[in-house]
Amino acid sequence: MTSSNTTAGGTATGSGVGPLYLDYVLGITKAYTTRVGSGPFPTELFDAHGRHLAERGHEFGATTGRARRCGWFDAVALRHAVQINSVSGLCLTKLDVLDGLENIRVCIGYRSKDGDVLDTPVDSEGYEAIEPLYHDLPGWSESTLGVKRVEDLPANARAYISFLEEQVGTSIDIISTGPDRNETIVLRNPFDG
Amino acid sequence: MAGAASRGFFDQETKAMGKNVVVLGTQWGDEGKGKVVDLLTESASAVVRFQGGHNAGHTLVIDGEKTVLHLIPSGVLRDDKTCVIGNGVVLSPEALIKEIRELETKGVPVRKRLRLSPACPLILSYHVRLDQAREKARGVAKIGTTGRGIGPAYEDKVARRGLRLGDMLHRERFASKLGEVLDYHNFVLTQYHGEPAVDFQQVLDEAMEMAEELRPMVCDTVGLVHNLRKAGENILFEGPRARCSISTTAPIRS
Repeated sequence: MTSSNTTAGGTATGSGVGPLYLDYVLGITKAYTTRVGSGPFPTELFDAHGRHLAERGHEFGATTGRARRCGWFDAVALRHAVQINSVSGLCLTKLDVLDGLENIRVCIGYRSKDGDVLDTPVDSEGYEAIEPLYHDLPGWSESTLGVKRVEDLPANARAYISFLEEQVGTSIDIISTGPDRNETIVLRNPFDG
Repeated sequence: MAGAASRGFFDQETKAMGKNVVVLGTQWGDEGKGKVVDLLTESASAVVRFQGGHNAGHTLVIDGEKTVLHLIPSGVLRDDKTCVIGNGVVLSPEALIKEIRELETKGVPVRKRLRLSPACPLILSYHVRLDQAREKARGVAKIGTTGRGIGPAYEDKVARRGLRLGDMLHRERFASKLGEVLDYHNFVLTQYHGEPAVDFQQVLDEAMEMAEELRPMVCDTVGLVHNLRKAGENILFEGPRARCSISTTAPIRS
């Protein structure tokens, strides 16, 4: 719970630059999902896959040491974030954390108890009775750490990225392949319009 | 003017404008925004913060030493960037001065590079006291706030009793507004929470001392940002900060 407006709309009100003067909104997302503290998390994992993400992704709070909750990429949540922020393009981070997984799941919808496929619930109570609808993709065994050109990524990693773009409905313009600033693939520079 | 005759009535003269780019996390935090912000800062003339306060920070490594920036954009480490704290940020003068001094001991000429909006709502000591008193009262149902007064400062703004950075630059105005707001908050603190009251004179004296230190950095940030864009400069708007961590080897001296 935060008292400030954290969406892109807050840029205009909080800086004095009107909304139509904003040329591009870059949304940053991990190649999977994490969450700190309580709250709904439909794709949360409690198995070996979750441990893989936590360990490989160093998903522990920097100051508290508290483990972050980990789960699969949630395209429903991303679609919602794209809408409310008018995201122009995405930056995908920590792709290398998925290296070595045989199978990777992406949540493409939520299913209610009655079997109906739903979009984003309107409040946090709405998450209680839903379960994620997954699409499975083959993983890759090669390391993607530090890769600097998209054509050097394993074919399955490229297919995973394309699938996310298709599901979220937004292009992935930057891929971060490591913590260092040169471990980055820039497909479209936000400042080049 | 060449070509003016062929221009239609509604056509505007087009000039190469700079780009305004916003960066924000689209999940539940920890997306790795710090690195991307650092990277995009290279292409921008100015970095603007527009919301939040001195909550979570960016960890920077300067000459092997850790510095945590809670308020100031990491672009402050580069000599050709202007850093702006916009009107949407709730500003703790105490936290800001602490951060400025810490960077100065590492050779970063912060005061030259940082500009502050006079419209920033202030976080003062009574906001921190209220934040903590309330979390204590909530017990197990606590929100888990950082206890830094950010929520109460935003509340004051919405309730039309908040003090802004610009108020600090005028002693009489500030003292009169502070008197009113403390009447209210001290009533809540003592009567509702059973906590000791906040001392008016102490808050006033501390604020007036801090005001002199911040005064040279306060300017019309809206005009500043718009003029940069008109001059064809790129501007980066840095969205909410989570627990991001970056290291940088960026040059820090001009």
